Amino acid sequence: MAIDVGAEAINRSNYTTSGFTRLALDNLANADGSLDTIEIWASSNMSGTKVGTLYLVSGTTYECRDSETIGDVTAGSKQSFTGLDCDVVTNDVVAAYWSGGYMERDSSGYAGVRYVSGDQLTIDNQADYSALMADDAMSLYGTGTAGGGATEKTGSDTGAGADAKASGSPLAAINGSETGSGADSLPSRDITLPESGSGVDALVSLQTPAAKTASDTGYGVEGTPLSGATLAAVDTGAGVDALVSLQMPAAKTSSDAGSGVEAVPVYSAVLVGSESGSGVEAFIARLLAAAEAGCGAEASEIGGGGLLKHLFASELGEGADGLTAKIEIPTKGGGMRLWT
Amino acid sequence: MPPVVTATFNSSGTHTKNGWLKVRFDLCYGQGGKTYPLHYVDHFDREPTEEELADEARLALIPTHKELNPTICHFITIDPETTRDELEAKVREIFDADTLSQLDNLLSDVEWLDATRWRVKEVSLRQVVQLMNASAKRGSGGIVPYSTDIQQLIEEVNARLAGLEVEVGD
Repeated sequence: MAIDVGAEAINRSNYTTSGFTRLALDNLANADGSLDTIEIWASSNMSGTKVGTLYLVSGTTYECRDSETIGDVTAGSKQSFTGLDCDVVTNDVVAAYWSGGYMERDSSGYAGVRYVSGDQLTIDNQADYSALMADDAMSLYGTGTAGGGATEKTGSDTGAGADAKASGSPLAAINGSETGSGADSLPSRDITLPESGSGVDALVSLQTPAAKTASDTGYGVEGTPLSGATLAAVDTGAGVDALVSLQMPAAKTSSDAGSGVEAVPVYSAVLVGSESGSGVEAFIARLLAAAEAGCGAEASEIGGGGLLKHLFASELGEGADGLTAKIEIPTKGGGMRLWT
Repeated sequence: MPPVVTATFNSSGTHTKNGWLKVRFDLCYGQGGKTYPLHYVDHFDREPTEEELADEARLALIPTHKELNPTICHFITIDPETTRDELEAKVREIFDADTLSQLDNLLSDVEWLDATRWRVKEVSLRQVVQLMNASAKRGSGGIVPYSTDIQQLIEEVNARLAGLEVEVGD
């Protein structure tokens, strides 16, 4: 869908002067997107020209949404400027500031032009455009494409909803103080401490392993399908902390408590002395050390990998802790119940 | 015979936007171009005053001469280190013969409001927007680091590219 904003850039009967930021009340923006073309007809050569989009805050106060430098504008014919990228939202107005020369203007039959002294076209800058040239129009017209444009995220941004960066450089870095929620899905982002993830904080193609450190708490769907994550000593995992293709072994230390689906299907993990496992802690090639008690689906299969499971003297085996190859002395009991 | 078309670096448009460095090239179609008659126009020998602009009779007294205005001014994203040769090659690539022909046809497709006032037909303007908004026409470059002195960067780039004029459409 095409976007347009402002009055057409034609040779008009009057002119308007420099040194002010002037916004056009005619033809508010008809869609969200990006203005990539601006047309201007200058009465005399204009210099230091900037254009921008503004939105009404309240009364006659407008805030600059985006702006871009154009430079000199030659008088005498319509000048078209392409290759721009100026964010625009439905009902925005188009505005311009120039430091020298005049722009074509009509003084009747239009919605009017508001203005304020000086260059106000700095992003997020608010100004009171109380001065009005009623019924006027100036030859400033913007066109573009709906849905275009890029949203830059800076360190202080908090992203929510559809703050997705869709064009330009597709990468956005969320730094330590940011929290992401909703559809802030950034396919190639880095997460640094001390972030906390909730909801669908999916890191689809994370290129580097995400190290979870002591203070991380993970819940929801914190999937890292292509890369590794290391759960350190005091990590607790819940929900679908699935590491589908973990590149590095996950070492579980004594105080880890594992629950939910903490599956490490490719590589081995070691449960040390005091650990207890529950739920689907299936480690295909793991070792259970001395004081472990296995239950649930802690099956240690012996087969193609040639790996053995050792149950030591004090262990209790039950459930699917099937021990099919090697049993250490002393061995008592019968059937699958080894020790009673 | 196709018109001579020149793309001239215009230092007044050099700026950064969202961290990208952009430079401006003004495209002028010489005699034979369909847009030539629209942009080969009278210019005052000196800039008129505000009072003269407000008074047509006084304005008419200022001597004039003919000048060829740009048909289109296009912004290209570049790397800060881009050389003149690299940019010249990029400009030739952007403004190839086919693009020049399309721009000339579209931007000369005007309707006249009266003897002196014209506008490009909306349908053609849309096509210009579409044509020049293609990613290949917009250039590319790395993000300028936040620590960069932007004003100094602009001065350096303008000094490096000063006077660059490329005859395009070969």
